[in-house]
Amino acid sequence: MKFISKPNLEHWLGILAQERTLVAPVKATVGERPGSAAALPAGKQSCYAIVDGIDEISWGFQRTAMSAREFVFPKSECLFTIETDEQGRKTVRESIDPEERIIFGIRPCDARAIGVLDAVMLQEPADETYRQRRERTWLIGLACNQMWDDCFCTSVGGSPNSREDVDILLTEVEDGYAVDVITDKGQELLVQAVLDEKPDLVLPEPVLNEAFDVPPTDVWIDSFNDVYWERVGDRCLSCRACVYVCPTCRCFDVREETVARPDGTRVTRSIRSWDSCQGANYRMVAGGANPRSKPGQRTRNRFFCKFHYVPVTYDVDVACVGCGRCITACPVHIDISEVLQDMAQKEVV
Amino acid sequence: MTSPLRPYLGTLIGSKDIATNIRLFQIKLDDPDEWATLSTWQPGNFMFLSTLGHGEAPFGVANIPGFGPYLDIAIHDVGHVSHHIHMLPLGSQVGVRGPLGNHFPLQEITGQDIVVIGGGIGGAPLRPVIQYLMSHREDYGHLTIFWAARSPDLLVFTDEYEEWEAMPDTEMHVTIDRPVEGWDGNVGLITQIIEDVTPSAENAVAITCGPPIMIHFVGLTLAKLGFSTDQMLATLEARMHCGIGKCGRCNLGDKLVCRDGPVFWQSEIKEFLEGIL
Repeated sequence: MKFISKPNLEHWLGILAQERTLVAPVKATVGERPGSAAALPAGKQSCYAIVDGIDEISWGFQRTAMSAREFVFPKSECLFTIETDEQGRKTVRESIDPEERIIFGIRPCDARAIGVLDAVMLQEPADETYRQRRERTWLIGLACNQMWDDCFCTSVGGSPNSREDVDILLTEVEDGYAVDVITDKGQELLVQAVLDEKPDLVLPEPVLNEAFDVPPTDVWIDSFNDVYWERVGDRCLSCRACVYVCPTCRCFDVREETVARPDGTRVTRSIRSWDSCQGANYRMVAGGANPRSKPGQRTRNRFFCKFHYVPVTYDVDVACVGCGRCITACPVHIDISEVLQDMAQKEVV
Repeated sequence: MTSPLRPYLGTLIGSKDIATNIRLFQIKLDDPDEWATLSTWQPGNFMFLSTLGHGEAPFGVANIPGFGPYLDIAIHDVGHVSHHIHMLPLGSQVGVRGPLGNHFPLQEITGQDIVVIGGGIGGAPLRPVIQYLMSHREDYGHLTIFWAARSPDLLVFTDEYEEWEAMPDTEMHVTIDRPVEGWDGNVGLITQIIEDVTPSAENAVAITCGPPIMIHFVGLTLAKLGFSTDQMLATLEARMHCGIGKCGRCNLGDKLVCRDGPVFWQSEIKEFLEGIL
């Protein structure tokens, strides 16, 4: 097994940060939360951010408040630009994000979530904007040594030390990290790293939360018209927090914004932003028809999207990676793990 | 590679009122190569039309390529994008993406009687069906066209009815929902007129477009007349932001209207987990 000492890892990340954009877990401080005097609650103490140097990296982090989704699929991005000259003639130019980006310290569930986004966005016809950014992104995973509160990755086919969808997986051991090189892309990066060979290295077993069964497709389909969904919907505030913290949600909205310049020319940007199926008017058409006008229909859509719609439409088994963020984020305690267990108790008719 | 979300540039070469708040726009693409790609559309396909400044929205195409070197799109001024398209002066540059979605399987239903049922602006994606049947009239049996709107001023393509009715072996029934002074045609819901005319279900296919509630009730009426759900086609609408199965906006259960539709057999619609209403 390959091994990298902590000083060598820091040195290597320092080199990588000079050549490419380095995204890593950082501490979210109280200072970044204006008006707040209290420390951040557990589980919300870190987030992913672009770092200038390795001294900014937070090492003992748990689950980050947000996943690394925004670094492959930004909250808001320009798809293309339309220039209008003085005569009113327009030209369209595609926006390319040329940055090479390394996401260091991504947790296995969040990496798997990028795998879900890949399955959707790269299915032909591929989303070119996503594809080009994704090809220039490296994922250096960091195994979790335990599952945190609300985590249920093992129930949805993942694990705290899963090798899926990362280029390199690091596991914390004494004095450093075990290095598992998974892809050629990962190998490329490691050329500049000082590694040791440790044949006797034993990887620690992560501490697991108890796993439960995810109900099969038939159970979902049979429950579609169940009053259960209305009851869940009765509690839902349609606040969309669950969707914004979700690492696999990919719904988006596209709008155009125009700015007039003093010289008589104009620039219009086509802006894509994250959207949420939990919004009341999400599914409404201009004529006013709205097939998901009730909150219960919308909460049902979110759960079905994760466990039935995406799996049957794209090449991926399940679209929930069990990170538990939506459980922590929900102001009315709608708990996806509870919903799954409720569903599992239903019998297939 | 070019992004499938990037529009082709086109120019608005024609624009006329065809009903209250409904205009028919004619668009010509600036680049002949792009036109060659775009003009492969078939009846039922949709395109995104962009004002290049106020956003884009999906619209059914209202003509077939052979009927002129341009794209016809009929737009009801009901939303943000449609309103800004209505404001565009002739000669404006617009963005066009497409063709997207599936199309009516007209080549697979040759030799059969065809019943075309259009309500309001829902008549727009049916006009290319009628145009196609016009140019392949001998390949199909009897043609019955049901055309409806809430009131006479909302009937679309009125100046073309004469030409449609003049096709061999064709009948057309136009109706409005409620009586209006000066209107001496049919009055009553489209379902009523269909029941009165009773088109034969034998070796026939019905093609419907209109608001979801109309598609639903027309389906029930056709079923009474003996049409099976495999003899009914409908085209659905949905809000969309990509048209290629990415944005997640248009799903009905596990189906994506943009990619699996917008044209569906009623038998498929019945199997949807989620209702269209």
